[in-house]
Amino acid sequence: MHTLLVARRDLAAYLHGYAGWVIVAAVLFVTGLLFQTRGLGAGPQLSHEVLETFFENCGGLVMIAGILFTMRSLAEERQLGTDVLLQTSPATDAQVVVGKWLAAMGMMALTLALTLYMPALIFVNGKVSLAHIAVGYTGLLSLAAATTAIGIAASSLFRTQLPAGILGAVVLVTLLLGWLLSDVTDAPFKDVLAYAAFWDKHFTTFMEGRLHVRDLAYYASVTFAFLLAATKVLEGRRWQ
Amino acid sequence: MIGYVLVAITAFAALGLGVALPRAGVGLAWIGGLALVYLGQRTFGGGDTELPATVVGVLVVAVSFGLRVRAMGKVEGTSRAAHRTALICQAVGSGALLVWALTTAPVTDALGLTGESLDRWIVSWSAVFPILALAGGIPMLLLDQALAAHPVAMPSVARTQAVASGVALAFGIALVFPVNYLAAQHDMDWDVSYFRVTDPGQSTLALVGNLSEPVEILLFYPPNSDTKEQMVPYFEELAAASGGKLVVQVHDQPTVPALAKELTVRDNGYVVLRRGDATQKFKVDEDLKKARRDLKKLDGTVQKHLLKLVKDKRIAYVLTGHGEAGPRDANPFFKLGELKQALIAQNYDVKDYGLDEGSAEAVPDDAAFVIVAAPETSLFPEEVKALEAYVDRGGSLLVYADPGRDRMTDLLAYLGVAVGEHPLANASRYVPISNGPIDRANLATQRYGSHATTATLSRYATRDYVVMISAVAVSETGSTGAPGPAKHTPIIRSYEDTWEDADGDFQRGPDEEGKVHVLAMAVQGPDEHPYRAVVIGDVSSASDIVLTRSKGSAILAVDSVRWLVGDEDLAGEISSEEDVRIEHTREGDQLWFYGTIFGIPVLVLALGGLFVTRRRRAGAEEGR
Repeated sequence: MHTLLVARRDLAAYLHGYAGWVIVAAVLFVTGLLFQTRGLGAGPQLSHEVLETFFENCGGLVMIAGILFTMRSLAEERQLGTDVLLQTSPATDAQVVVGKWLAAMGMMALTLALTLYMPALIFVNGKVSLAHIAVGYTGLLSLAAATTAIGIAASSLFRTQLPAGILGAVVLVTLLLGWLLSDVTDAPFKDVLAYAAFWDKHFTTFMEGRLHVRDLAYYASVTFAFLLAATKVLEGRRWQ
Repeated sequence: MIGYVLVAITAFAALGLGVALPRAGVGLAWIGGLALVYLGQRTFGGGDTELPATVVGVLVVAVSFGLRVRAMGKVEGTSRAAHRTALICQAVGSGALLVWALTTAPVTDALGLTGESLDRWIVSWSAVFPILALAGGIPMLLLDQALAAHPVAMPSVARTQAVASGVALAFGIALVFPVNYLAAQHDMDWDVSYFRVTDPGQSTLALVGNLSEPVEILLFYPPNSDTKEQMVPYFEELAAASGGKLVVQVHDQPTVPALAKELTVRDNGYVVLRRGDATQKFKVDEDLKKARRDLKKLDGTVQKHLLKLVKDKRIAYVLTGHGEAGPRDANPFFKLGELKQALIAQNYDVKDYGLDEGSAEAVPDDAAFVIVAAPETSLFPEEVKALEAYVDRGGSLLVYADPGRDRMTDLLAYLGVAVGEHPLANASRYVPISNGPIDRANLATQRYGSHATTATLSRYATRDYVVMISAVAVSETGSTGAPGPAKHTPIIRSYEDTWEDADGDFQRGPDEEGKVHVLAMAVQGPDEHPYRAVVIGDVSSASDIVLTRSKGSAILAVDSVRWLVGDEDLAGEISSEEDVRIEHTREGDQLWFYGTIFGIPVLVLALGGLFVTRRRRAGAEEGR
């Protein structure tokens, strides 16, 4: 219950300010631009290629938007001094973190819902399945869940938005490119790094319309780990 | 050299932090030591730096213990207790080093482990040592952080909380590994990308509807085959349309050895079509995953084999010897390989017809029709005469013209047709290929005449475009050399703002009038001389590059041939669920371009802005 209260409060903060809408519109603008230049406008392509390119573009933007939406969530509370209100509220630290994550996910879901007309355009001349689109969006939501969790964990460590955003981006890029390290390391780290590839290993399957339990488990576990870390940071702040 | 430098820098930094920050730096020194061991064993493994890095790493870990003990000695009470707990955590974390040592070659060799037992040993301990490192390292770091935050006296509750949080976080992170391992080991996957078995196309339905003799379709599949389940509805629909002439049977190959032997079916996964003693056979794998691609184009495959079964093979002659476009042309806009394949699928033999084959004498009697595909140079007068004689006796011609190529004046005049000299262009409805002004010559049209060749196209008039990459206008001359009266029917037209680009600048000049041009014309002789001809103003409309991208152009090519040989009752689309390349016109592009890039984001921004402004205004009024 407390989780939903925190989520509602944060979601309202996103929707009642211009910044949230600007981020949503900017993401839609860039997605549309990429959809036209790399997808539909890039000469004759097979329907599934256009759809995969759309999910690829959207995936990149989801990660950027995830960091933008979350970098202020906990950092701003500290900056404005409102974290004291949260700490003295009946909500536990875990409820605060999950509530803020749910609010960010609400904004991500809204943004993704507004992109739905793009894959729908493929139906005009092409052949793709609704299930393929559903799986692609499941991948985008999974990616959004993990990215926003990373963003919230980064935001929990700082007092201002900028370093939180930078740290979130660094963690994300490390996870994105970490698999390159697998070429120069040995087992078991080699396998771990190769498996942890945030995009190459786990998101491309969603793009292609293939749903794997292992990919869902991966994004769920990344989300869990970073939300847990954020919770422990908040708890640590109490006893410090 | 660089390895030694890296080792030295890491060791110096770790120890420096440990000495300079006695409360928070000890844990960092310990991590530095572990990192050096890892670098030595994994990154520098086998090189000169392996031993020094490992030894220095172990030493740094050992020194970090000394630093911890020293820091513990300098404080009293709860802070000392916190250091003691941190020391225990440090020892637990260092246990990871000992466990890891169990996986090294000297230990496994000493234990005599090989093969599967060695793998199991390494995998088991490899799973344990990261957990130990996390379980010791994270609480230790949190304790260090708490010690730094309470330099005078550390509250007991802070120590307890730090350890509890650290252990919870460590095991939370450690849980991620087995969960992902199990998920990867027991992975389940679903491929939901586009898949649909074709419905019977109109031309296949027409074909089975006109069967004169019974045809059996025998499916050889096991009872539980998913492929069979997908195919049976298709064949049942064909059977229903055949008026009882087509019968479908399903057999499991091992249970009908005599029938399988008679039809030479050695395994399940085959479809056999039988008419009397004649048979046609093709494979569709019994495994649905492997069969998906074949099932998407089942209708085309079935029609191809049905035609072979119920129609005699016919011959299409292709005039050669004057630089005509053809199946082996190097220029993709003149390569007619796909057209040839489409004719073969319609049960034609496609033969060259040049001087060596008697093109200057007479068209062979077995010709179903003759293709003249945009010759570069003029036909010989004797060849024109031979074609005229062929027309007189009721022959059929499929003639393609093209800008810059021979205009075939004599031959076309005989049919009462002429083609323009300059390419046509349209500034609004064209297919973008190079994204330059030249694209305006790539016409796309949905203007179809009322004729058997365009009956299918007209049915899907808003769906498919006929694409012509640089076309000339086709016009009626008013008189024919062939026996008349002939009936001329425009079958494809351009849009009204299309102009003949005489100056070749792809800009519509003041003298270049925009109007509807005929792009393709059908000519039909009188009943006593039932010749037929289709004249199309662009050979590229039948080229590989267009036929593989424009469904409308492919339908035009095949239905033109069907009409030429009197098979117009078979006209219709061949159903296919294969993925198609999305081709669209410039006009469509612009609508989507602006709508997608600007329309939706601006709408969202405007609605969001309105929502926020109204909300704030309401808040301000409430405040007053």
